[in-house]
Amino acid sequence: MKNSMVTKTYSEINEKIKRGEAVVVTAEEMIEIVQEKGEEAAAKEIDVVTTGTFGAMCSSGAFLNFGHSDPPIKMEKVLLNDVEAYHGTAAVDCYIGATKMSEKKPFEYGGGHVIEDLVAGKPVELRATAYGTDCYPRENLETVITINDLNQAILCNPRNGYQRYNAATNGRHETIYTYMGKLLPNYRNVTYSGAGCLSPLSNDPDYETIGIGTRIFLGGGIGYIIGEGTQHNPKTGFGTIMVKGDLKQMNSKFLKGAVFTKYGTTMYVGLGIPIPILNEGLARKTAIMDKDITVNVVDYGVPSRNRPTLRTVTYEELKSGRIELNGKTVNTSCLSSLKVAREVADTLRKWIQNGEFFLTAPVENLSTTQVFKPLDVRAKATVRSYLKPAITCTLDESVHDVAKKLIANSTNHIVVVDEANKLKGIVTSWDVTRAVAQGIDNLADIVTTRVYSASLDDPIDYSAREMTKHNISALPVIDSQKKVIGIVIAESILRHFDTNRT
Amino acid sequence: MKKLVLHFGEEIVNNAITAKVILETQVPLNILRADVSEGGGVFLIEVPDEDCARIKTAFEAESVKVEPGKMIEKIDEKCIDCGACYSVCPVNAIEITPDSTIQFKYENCIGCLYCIDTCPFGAITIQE
Repeated sequence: MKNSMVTKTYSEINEKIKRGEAVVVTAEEMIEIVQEKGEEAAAKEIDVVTTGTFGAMCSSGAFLNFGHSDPPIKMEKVLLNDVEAYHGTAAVDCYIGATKMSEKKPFEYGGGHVIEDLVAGKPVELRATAYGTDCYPRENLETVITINDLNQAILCNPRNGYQRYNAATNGRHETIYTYMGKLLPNYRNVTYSGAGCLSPLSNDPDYETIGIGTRIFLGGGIGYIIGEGTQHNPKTGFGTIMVKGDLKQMNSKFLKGAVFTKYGTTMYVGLGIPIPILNEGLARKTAIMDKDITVNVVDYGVPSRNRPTLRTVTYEELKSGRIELNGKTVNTSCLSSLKVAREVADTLRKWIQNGEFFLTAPVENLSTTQVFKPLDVRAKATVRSYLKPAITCTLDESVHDVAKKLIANSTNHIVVVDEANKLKGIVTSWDVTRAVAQGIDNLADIVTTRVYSASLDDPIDYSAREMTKHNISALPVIDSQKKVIGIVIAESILRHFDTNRT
Repeated sequence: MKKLVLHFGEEIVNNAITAKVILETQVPLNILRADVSEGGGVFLIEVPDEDCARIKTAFEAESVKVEPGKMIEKIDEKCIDCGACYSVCPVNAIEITPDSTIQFKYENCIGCLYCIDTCPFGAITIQE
């Protein structure tokens, strides 16, 4: 990397902000400045570039503290306007999540709407129940609160501000409803999210200035980045951030409950990060254009984690309103609002210009190496993996013949079948021993004909439970026609568990 | 061209009113949308500007309720100008202005209602 001709520090920039001399532009404006003047001159002239986005961010919610009632309550179930808040914390703390839906009006009103209503200063119904303890005797509580009644109301979003996001389409022959909106059949439309060149993380893709402690615009108030977001995936250009901010300072214009038909509720979050132009590298990066940011167009009609990609596309193409897909021109819908994203970047610019907002150097930068792993649901072991060939006999054989078979095959179980190989019963070495002791040679007299059996795809833990329950040591395995295909023996399950133990 | 919404009441739904009006007025009106059931019917028609008043009078004479053709309405206070509705419109009745504002061109709307359930903020309503 070449040495930077321009170097500025956070404190130099903050000094300029204090004096009202900082030169601040939005990421959209920066493009032209760098094109006109070049990186070096732009880096000298511009102190801060502001970014912004306003889109659906499901991984959002708020911690609320209600204070203690008299007598006090250790809330066990908390409902805010009929939306349940998570309550695995102390007596009167809770977390209300954006996607939790109202018990009375699901798919219409949810946690995001509760947060919006609180921020808008509207009264919110609080209902709580508890089991009652010696220290918290109250078992019921019903009241109305506003945000002013809360001790703390802290927006705390585990994953916000995706650097970019794949566009969605639908190859099925029917309309589908997704978190990417309504997708018409046969690839007839495309939806996308994100603000492209205005998008916060796209303007500093190496997270040179972004990390824990970065002061940001959040929901119309001041917030902070508190770490990398969940599913942060920097190597593929899908970075995310975790943020927090005081809900009491926020503005419901930039924090809105939303509904995606047949998907559920969510919240639109306004988020803007100021990028200090410390060097010409940052001038270049903040001049990123929509045509430089590509995403995949993915078929959401395929109900799999590995949805197929139809093509790659730039934000410039997506923002034009139509793209080519499979040789046809289809319309594109933006799910986030570019207009409000511009307002976010512009508001942040004004705050800095007016000396109301100062920049912070991160105490630790976001990871550039973290990898986002999928969840592999472990295949449940089935009878198939424990199947052994069954040693069979027919009812016309003698006890003596069966005894010889037991010895020859060193087994304890002989499965009795008819001419069509259908299950008729089971004989164990114990049955044969008893027959010999009692002088019985007719096989039919000793066969167990009420046999428990298993199918190939039964989970092995189910078969193990069956054997324990009925005090037996093996299950003949049969197909749908009751034909014997093998046997599963308790001993092999035991052996498996033993070798798998570390 | 102007759009009109016609409401046929239950008692007149079986009458050949539209054909009668066309023959009577000699206006080649275009039926963009027709929902008919035993309980009544709603038509969305398109007529040349100069014939609009005549058509209205002719239908009203047959006890049909005639309203200006607006099947949906965008509530601007609820709209955040995202554009979720934009791509499902089959007739380009939704427009994105250069400053990224969403505008409805009601004159193009055929009342298919595809856009209604795309809006995350319930900003598009059906005009009854």
